[in-house]
Amino acid sequence: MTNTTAPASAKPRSASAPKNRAFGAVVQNVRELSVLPGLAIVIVVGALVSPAFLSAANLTLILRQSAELGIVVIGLTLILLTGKLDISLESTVGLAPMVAAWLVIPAAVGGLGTDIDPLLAILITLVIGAGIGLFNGFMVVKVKLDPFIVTLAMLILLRGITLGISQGKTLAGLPEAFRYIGSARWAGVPAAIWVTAILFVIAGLVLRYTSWGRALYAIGGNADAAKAAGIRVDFVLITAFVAASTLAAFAGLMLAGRLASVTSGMGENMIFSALAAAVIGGVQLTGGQGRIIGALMGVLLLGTLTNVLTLAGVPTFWINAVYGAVILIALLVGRFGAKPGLR
Amino acid sequence: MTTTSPGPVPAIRIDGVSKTYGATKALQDVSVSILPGQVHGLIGRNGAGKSTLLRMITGLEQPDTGSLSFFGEPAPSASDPKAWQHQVACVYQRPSVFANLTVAENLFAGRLPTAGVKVSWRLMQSEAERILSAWNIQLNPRTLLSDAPIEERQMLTIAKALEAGSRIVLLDEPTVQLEGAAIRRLFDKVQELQQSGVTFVFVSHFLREVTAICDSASVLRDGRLLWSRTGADIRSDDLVEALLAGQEQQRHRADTKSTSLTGPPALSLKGVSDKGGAFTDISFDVAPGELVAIGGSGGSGKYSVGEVIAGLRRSSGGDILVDGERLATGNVKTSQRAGIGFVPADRHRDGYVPQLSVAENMTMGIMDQIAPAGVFSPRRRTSISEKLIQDVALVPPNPSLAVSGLSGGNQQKVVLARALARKPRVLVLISPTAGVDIAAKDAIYALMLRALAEGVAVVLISDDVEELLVSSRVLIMREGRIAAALSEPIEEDIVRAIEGLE
Repeated sequence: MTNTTAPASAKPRSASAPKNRAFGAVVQNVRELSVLPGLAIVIVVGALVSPAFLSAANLTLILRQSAELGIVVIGLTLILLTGKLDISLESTVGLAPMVAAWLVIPAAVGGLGTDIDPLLAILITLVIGAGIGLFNGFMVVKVKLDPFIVTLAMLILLRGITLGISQGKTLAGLPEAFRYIGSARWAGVPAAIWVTAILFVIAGLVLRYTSWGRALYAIGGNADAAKAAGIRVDFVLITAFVAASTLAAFAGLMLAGRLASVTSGMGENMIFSALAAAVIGGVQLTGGQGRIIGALMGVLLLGTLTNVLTLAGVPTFWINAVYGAVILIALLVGRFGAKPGLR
Repeated sequence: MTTTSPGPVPAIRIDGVSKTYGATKALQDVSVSILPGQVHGLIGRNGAGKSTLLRMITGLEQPDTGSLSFFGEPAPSASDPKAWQHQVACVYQRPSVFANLTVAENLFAGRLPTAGVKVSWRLMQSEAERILSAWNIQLNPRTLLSDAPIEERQMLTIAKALEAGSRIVLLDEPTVQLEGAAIRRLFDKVQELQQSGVTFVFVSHFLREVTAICDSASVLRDGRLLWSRTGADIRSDDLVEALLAGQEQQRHRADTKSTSLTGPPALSLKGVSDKGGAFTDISFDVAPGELVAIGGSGGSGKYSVGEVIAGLRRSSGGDILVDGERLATGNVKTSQRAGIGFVPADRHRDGYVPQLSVAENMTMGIMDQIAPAGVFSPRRRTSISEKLIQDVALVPPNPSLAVSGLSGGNQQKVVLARALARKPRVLVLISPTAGVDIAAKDAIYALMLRALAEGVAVVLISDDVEELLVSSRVLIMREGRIAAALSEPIEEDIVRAIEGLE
């Protein structure tokens, strides 16, 4: 509503550039922060529903449980900013740690028992992620296939490989180093929260202060113009896919550490929450618009919501329905609460 | 021609029509009569009133004063578009059809033959075959329209209109998207239909086409009818003259002779061909501080020359030398580093990223200089862009404003500022003043002249004859080759060279 009245009131003073600049900044912020009222409502409801909600332990739990989603959302945001899409990220979350765990774990419990260094296994996890991203990027950029269809096929294929390797079993007995990042605590707070926070900060800085980050926006805004301006469009796009899949593999590693095992269903349906979080946070599917702070807000909203629904004792079978409805409401608030005058 | 004379009833009669938009008099007291079975050429420069007249004949606009009649009957009322469509059909450059549907579906769009509640594909198929053979169109009704040649699509549009009962067809620059053989096929069909009594109004920028196909013609200038003639009275010399502006000759002509044009050329093309085949064997040199303009009609390949130099297209064969160094084509960054600054033809498509800021758009091509290690300081970027904003006199001078919020002229200044940001040795400008207002036009020319004075070599590629006149050296391209090299040309020389009239 700020925006429907603002253009009219701003017009007579349009000569004063600083005023406009300030106005533009407000609009920009409003869009990202339009999640805040929703988040506040969910928090108030949570506090009313259960005294346990505001306890430090519960808040930490929310953050810890949102960490993997948060990292996937960072990767997804990089790709969405270019106007592309990668829905196979959730299968990468499952496959990359599965392959590494399968290599490490003794044959007796379903692994291959190669006895490789766990640190090497971690490296393998990330390399597999990068490889998947490279393949996706190549298919989209060079072969010029539609990103939705390519990554849909990859979503199914990678999940299938995960199932095939594990024979549907859960691989437990992961080496200590492999579990570390998902289970350790630093200064009393789970390391995963620290790492996710740091990754969000890095992503924010990359998107704002590096030519690669700005190139993502330029490509999403107008790929032809970006090319004519000398941006290496193909390179930037492919590296965005690689970065996103590597992040997804890392999220998988963290999830494995939290669960102390690798299951064949790890990451399943995560992409829907990731897309919802990014879009609620103001990242446009059409590319070129959105900020990482918004995506973070989206993640926090969804994480808090899941927690509150559980605390409120919403019957298990109804949780998804409520979850979907709240996402819808959040989108509507974002659409009408901060309709950008700049668009 | 305007007097009521006995004799055949005109298919179209336009009688003293005027139209005013705000302060602009688009048409003033225009009267034209077109007899049945004629192909009538309608000629004029941009803004002469051709489009307004066409819109009136198709019923999209109503005249302020004056009247229209078709075959002696007053034109249908404005509220009855069906009746207009029954009389008059219009074929545009890009036929308005559904490329994703079949030929038959296009013929019957909006009135699919049905059997009961379902579409009867069989009936549609047989009807389509009948119509296609009746109008001698070599298309399979089952073909997707996207697979059909453009002139056949245009014929399809004409056939559809004639099936629906109209006997008057307007052709609005139908040949712009076509090449030679296709144009001849279209013209053959038009002449065939003309024999059977269909009346055509033919709008074209190409005088050769008008003399080839029209048996009467009218010339509009500044909203007035200059003359309307039939048959042998239409001579290409008169048409050339009619197209020349009778307006004040305000010139920006670059005075490049004052600078010494000695020394090795800044840009040199030696027998360069386009890999996509848009042009062949192009050679020319541009000295530092020299301006060379390239003109030509739509399919002449002139834009592609600029795009190859800028790295957006690849060459095959030949050499491009910048300051004596061979340039590898096909990579924009390589061209930029070699010293090429580029303003693309369509700023909306290739020029700027609308939602990003002025500062960001201006510095997009020099990020490798601002951020050698990939990380940059926004403050430094802003200060660089503030300097550029001053250079090009951007309004408003605000680096953080989104480019989508600027006027067309200022958007173009942003694109030009980006081309200048790297201190280029060679500037390639494609239609730099298309669609900008006069003030911005002057400003853009002033910037170009300043660059010339600083010793930058400029290649100016344009559709606009007046823009070409800015240069004292003009190359004219036809069908992918340099057809003429003009020195100190006047407007008429250029128009003739583009048209291929000697």
